[in-house]
Amino acid sequence: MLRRTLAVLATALMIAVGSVVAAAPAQAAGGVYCNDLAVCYITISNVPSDPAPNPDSNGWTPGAPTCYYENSESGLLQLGWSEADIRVFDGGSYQRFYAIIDCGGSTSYWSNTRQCYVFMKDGVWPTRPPGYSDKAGYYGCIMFNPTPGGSPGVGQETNFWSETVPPGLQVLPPGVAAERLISTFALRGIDIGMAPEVNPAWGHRRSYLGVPVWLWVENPQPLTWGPYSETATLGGQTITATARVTSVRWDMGDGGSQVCGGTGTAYTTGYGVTDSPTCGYRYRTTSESQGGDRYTVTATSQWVVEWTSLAGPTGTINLTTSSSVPLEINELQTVNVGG
Amino acid sequence: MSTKRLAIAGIIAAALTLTACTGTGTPNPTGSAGETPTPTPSATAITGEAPADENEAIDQAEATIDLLLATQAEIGAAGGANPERYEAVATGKALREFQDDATRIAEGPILNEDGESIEGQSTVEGSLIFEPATGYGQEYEGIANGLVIVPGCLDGSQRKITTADGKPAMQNPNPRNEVEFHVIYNAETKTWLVNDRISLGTTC
Repeated sequence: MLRRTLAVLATALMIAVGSVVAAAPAQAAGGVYCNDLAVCYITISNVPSDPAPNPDSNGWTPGAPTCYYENSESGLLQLGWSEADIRVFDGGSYQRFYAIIDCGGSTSYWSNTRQCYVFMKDGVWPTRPPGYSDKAGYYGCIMFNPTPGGSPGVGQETNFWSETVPPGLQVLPPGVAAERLISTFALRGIDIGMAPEVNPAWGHRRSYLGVPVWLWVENPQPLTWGPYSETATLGGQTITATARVTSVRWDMGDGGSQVCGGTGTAYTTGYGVTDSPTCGYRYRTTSESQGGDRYTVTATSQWVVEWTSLAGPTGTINLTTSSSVPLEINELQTVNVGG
Repeated sequence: MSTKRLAIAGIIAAALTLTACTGTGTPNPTGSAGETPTPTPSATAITGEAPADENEAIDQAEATIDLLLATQAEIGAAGGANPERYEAVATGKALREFQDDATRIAEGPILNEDGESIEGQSTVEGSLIFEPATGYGQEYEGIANGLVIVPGCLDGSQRKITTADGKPAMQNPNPRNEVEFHVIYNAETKTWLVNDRISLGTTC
């Protein structure tokens, strides 16, 4: 039976079996625990755990500053640790023994909670379970018997999903890497094609009440209409993302709007005064009441960006771009000429 | 947890399941096999053949977690007596944690609401409640879906502990916490066992 010789100064709180049962330290102090054979160890006030998720702008949470490997007292000694390297949590009616070990690095970090080195899984991931978003990551956890200053032995690996990057790791899950890649896309609004065109003499477009206005995408380009595709490796994830416009919403400035699915039809004089077969509008109110006697016509492109990752996860990100032009709308005056 | 400890836990579990019945692929609390379904306070283990698929494994794992928490409630209500009962439903780190919990209930010391360390037997009412959020399986020791990870919310608000001095025990101000239960299938004993409970550090 263990004999407690010194008392712990600090109150030890332990999260035990999901609810805090305050495991009051029976011994105390000095931060030392001694066994029957008078072998003494420095105590720690809490069962080692991982920092709570507290992601920075990269989604990363710092790892535990000190990493502890748990085993029995005899187990740690047999593995080669000395008394000076061992720490004890004394729960009063039980004790737990730990060795301080190397925490690892940004791609593989020790988890005090899981008692393993955690890393993001390479290769193809299994299907994401229900309940996890496309920003979740799939991580490995290798359990083994470490040795002091030595490399780990081969151990059993388990895998787990996590919505947040585990503490200590500086990696990007595919969904986050995709978001980063897509944010670098220089997508822009369409070049607006419209009949009426800009009149060089006036320097702007002018049309009239009831006259068909034709709307189209002028000179569609990969960055204005798609498809636009890039592949990059970010945070260890190789991502391919392809962006394309699925529709354009035309806000005509008078409160009316049109949503057109394609690029529209470019107007030529051969069409005469007819409505566009694909995307057009007729004004019922002049722009007289608007500032500068102009409506602002805005074309908002709805982009869908589909991404895939080498690891397997895929996803879709929606975003918009827009462009606008001024348009004057006047009333046609009827003039009777004759005698 | 070390491989060595897993092996030891496996041996313990193997010995324990000598008393457990072998069931079918569906959750089968030992003691109720072949009987009319009734509340099963005497259930001690979830046994059966290796899971046929992931869904079956998840069902078994959730049943095992429920049984573990029911066992904890019974052991707590009995003042922490017979913590060896956990060995039929838990192994490894989970077994150690739940047995430590029983020892604390039986002997103390536990902090009361005033922060005083109280020795002696506590009393417990109620139980922890686990609300699974999802679940997924993976291969474990050659068994497809032999390890099931079940993330979810563990609610400690209904478990009331009174220390030996008659005062309520200190309570966690955040009684609902996200956890991840790891449940393994022991092919040798055909028994499902909770082998870890990972605190994810967030409330729910």
